[in-house]
Amino acid sequence: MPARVVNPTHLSDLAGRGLVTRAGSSTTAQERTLPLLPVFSSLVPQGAVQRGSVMACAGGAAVSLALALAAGPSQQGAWVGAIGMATLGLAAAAEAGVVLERLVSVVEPGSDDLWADALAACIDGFDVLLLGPAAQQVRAGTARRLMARLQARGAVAITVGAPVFGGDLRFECTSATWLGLGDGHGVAQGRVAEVALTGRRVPQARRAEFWLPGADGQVRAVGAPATAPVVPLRRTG
Amino acid sequence: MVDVPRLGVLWCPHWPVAVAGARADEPVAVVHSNRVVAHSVAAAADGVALGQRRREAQARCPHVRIEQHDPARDARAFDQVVQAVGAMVPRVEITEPGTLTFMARGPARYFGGETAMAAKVVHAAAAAVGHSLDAVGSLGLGVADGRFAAGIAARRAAGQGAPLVVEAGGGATFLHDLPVQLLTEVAGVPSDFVHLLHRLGLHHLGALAALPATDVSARFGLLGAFAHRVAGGGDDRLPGTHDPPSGMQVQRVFEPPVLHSDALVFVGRQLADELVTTLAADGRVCTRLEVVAETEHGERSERLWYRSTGLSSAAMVERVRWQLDAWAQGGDLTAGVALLRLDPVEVRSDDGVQLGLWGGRTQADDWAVRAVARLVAVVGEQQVLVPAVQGGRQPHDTYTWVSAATADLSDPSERLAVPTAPWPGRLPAPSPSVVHAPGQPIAVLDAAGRPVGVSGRGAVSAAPVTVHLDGSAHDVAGWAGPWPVDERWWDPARARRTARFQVLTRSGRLLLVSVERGQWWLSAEYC
Repeated sequence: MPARVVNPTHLSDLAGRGLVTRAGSSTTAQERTLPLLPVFSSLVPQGAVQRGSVMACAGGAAVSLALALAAGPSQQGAWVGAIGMATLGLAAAAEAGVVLERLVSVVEPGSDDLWADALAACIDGFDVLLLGPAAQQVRAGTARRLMARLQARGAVAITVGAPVFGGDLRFECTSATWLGLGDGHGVAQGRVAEVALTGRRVPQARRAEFWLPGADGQVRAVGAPATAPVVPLRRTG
Repeated sequence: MVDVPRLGVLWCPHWPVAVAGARADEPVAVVHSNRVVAHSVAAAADGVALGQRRREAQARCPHVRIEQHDPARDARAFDQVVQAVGAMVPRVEITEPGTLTFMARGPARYFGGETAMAAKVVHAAAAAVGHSLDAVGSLGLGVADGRFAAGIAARRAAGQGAPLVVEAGGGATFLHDLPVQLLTEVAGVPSDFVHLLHRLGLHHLGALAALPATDVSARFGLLGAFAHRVAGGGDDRLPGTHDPPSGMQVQRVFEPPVLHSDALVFVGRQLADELVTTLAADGRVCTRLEVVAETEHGERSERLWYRSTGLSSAAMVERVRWQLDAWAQGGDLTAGVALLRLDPVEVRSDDGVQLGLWGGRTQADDWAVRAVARLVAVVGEQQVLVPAVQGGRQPHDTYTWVSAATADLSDPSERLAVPTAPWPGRLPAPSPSVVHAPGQPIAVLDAAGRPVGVSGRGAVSAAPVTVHLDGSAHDVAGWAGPWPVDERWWDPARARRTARFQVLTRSGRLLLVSVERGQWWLSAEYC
């Protein structure tokens, strides 16, 4: 291998000589995050997620939650790659706000090697990865290497029932109630779900209630988050 | 006025039908994405027309034979005609399979006049057509100023069975009394623009051409200016069209020579990407492309391809494949291909014709398209899917998955076109987030442990109390239904009669279940 030639115009070489500061300090916070839907600002700090992080969804409304989390970046122009989610409901995805023009699904790659290759290709190509339960069969070592690649590339992963990929942000649907369905009458009109967020960058567990989904299929907020300070009513007049 | 090139257009009416092997008097229609794109004379006599839905065409003419559109097959079959004409006149350009264009001035001098030349070319082409044209009519050849007038002349010539030559400078007179629909049929102007012209009382090209150019341009913009210009027999090249500077061509030399057409097309894709990127950097797009392939024994295939809206990278690759397939099929290849070259012969400034729905292409789009190509190579094309609108009442019918390898990722407008009318009988939002297609067999029991049934009139035998699913029993906390669907009752093979229910279990799972002939299925779940 030939000796590496120092390129006087290459940023990393300039940085090595102290002429340019490292990229981390100069890029704005916006470039290092992906925006979520505005409704999540009550739950997720700044309403955005760090590039390179893994969001794990669990509980009764996990798939709806994953779709709602993917909708924010998708509407901002990001491509969403769904892997191991052969049963994904496209109508629900569209109602949740995922842009179907930028959705690609990889059904079931097969062996572990193929999973690794397919996931690597997805990480290189798509900003958001939706990993379904079938992705759980990936070996732990492979998953770790892939997540390192995810961080380097700056994509985010949203997992449903695939704990092998870990989780920087863990969303858990702790309670869910469907409304609108009677005993032989009515139709399901929406689900009120309480979502708890824990994780490395979340010092204290946060909770918020959402319509997940609401009557039009979109995610909506229900009241204020439980951790918000309660402002007592003040007598006026 | 810029001088308008003298062009000859050879046009075969409804070429895809001829390639499909239609017999005389046999009604045949070729459909592409459910719309008729070509039909035989017999089908037209029964009322089949271009642009009709397939079902409409079948209603007009029940015994019509429906064929799927296959541009690659059409292009392969057309290559013999191109060869025959190419032996007589230089620079033959393929506009689309079934239509070719050439410069008429030189050959006309050689053959002693345009009429003589036209007769000779048509004769040679008719001898080379490998398919019977009885079902569609005859080849038409028109010579006129500009592509538009020549194209119309070719269509009229096909109707009257003899070549039609419109004398130089006579374009405006020739076009004067012709209907404005020809703008859509021949020049590719959107049909709603033509409808607007009709509503304004402009039924003939002459009426449009008689308006002051500045007024038309002020009212309708670039499109109006273009329509006005061609209606008056003017130049139909879009503004900003010119020959590119030399040295734009891209080529690849193969050492050792390549025998596989797939490998060549793969390289063709790289070359096309390279060429499109270079041109796009200058804000230009290629409208006429020359594809050259050579074997190591010196055999050579050279074709000119034209597309008025500009050739995208995918369109270039498609044409490379057509040309190579036709060449290989010709059977005179003795060695592997040693050279492949793409040469843009005519470029014009890109006015954004090909932009996607959401505006320009972004870096993320390019990455994603590349990732899809890589994924297809890794896991196979049946495993990499993108959504497409299908329409239907069942949760798995509304959208369907199609292979990403064959879908157009950069322009999903056709694939994801929003249906104009609702589907009566489909369930309201929210839609289920997990869809099982095909459904999973389950059991739904009433309080006495008997299966719940739904009568032919939609009456439920008893309220569901337990659902047996994944080998365990779930208590029902709430339910709604039945919502009966009686689909395709006119077709015994595909008819389905089902009744749908929403069932909420005590554990909080909401299921969409359906019963069909006494068997219960889990069709979707609201996870």
